[in-house]
Amino acid sequence: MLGGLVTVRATPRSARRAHPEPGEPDARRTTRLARTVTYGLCGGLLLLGIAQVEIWPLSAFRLFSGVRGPEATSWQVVVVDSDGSERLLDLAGMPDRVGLPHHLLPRLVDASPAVREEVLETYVEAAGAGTSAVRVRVYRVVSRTSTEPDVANIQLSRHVAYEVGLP
Amino acid sequence: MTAIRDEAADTDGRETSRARGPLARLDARLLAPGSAHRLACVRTVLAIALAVRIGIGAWTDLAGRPDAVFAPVLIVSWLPGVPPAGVLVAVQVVGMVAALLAATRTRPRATFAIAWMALLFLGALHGSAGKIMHNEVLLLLACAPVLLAAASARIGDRRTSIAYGWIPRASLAVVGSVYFLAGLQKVIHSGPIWFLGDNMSWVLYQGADAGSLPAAARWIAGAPILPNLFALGAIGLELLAPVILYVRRTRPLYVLAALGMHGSITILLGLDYTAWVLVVAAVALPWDRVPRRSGTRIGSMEPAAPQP
Repeated sequence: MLGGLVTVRATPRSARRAHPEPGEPDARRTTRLARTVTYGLCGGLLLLGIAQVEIWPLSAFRLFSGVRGPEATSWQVVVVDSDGSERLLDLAGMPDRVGLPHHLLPRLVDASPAVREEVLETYVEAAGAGTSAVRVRVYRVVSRTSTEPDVANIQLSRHVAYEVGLP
Repeated sequence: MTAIRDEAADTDGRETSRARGPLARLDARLLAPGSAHRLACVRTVLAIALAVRIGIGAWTDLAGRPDAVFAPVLIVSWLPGVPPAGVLVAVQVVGMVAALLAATRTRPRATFAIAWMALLFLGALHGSAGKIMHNEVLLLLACAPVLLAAASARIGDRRTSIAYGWIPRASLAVVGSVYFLAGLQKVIHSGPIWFLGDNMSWVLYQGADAGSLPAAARWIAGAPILPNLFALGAIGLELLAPVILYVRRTRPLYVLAALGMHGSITILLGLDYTAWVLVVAAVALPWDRVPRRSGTRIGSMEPAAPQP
């Protein structure tokens, strides 16, 4: 028809349809699979999220979900030499293979001394700072964040969270 | 001029979505026939995203991680430690080649699965460091339904079926669920103070030095209202994801919004969420509107066919 927009099938439906009509066995199987996968994945994600369960790659997706304030907690690892002097390890500059010290150090508060010793020795070794060290000390530091680029954060408190002796 | 509309190529289930009740309509849209073309486009872009993520990852840096600091996630908990660099390189090369083969539709079902498993393995090792890492998670989850996609789907393929249609919609639903969940967690753990208070200012101040524009991050952090608008935009984008992604016309806007949100996070805070943008683009762009080789579009106006 000239001048009009008509709705016709460009090709027979049977020629284009790659799978059977709904109601046929394969269509029923496809429908069941589609529902299982889609609702299973979405429902599972929401349930695990509400339950705050992390089974990577299924995650609760707590991305920046807490409220940040001016105070921030950080962790410092220092090696103590035989004369009592302390040397700060550069945790941010450590190689990727040692993981994420800032996230692992808080978890060591409740760990056994043996586990703490093993982890901290790893950091000392990675930093190449263990030759004259006799102890490793971990500080929990609370600071007030500086809003100026050239002004350091103001340290509010610093106390020893735990320490281990080196062999 | 005669124009032909291809009824069966209504690839997003609008014709069959006039069912009763919202849940029934949702189900009908999931199970409506969709085009093989769209499925192939989604699979191709996700395969490219897999290739990029596997290819650019510094996975060998994980080699030699001492057992003491190896905190394995469940799927690699059977490993005594991180495998040596040679194994990681082999997985990386095999995964990247497989992803590129999947993108070029060479045995797409098998190669896509190999690439997905490679990123799953490498991402799991990366995430076994004491903190849940989310960089690759959305890509892995969105790819999960595509693992079941028929190998026969190809770009420009006008055939439609339920089997072709549900997979891109399942991936879209997963993406919508993930964003919604991220927003919901902010509501659960913080409430309105998350965007009404000065939370975003402190996020920017504390993360500024990790980003590539620390001066800009500090300027935004210190500006009145601007951090609140950033926060409101982020949480709004997350909570409204299921609605925005459900409505076909608003999906491209979500791609732009996700690009803006994740792009600003990368620039201002130095956190890499490029995979998330690629995933949103893969599942939300209107691939049926992309011209095919013949210069026409699926689900739209077709050139006149010879009349009998």
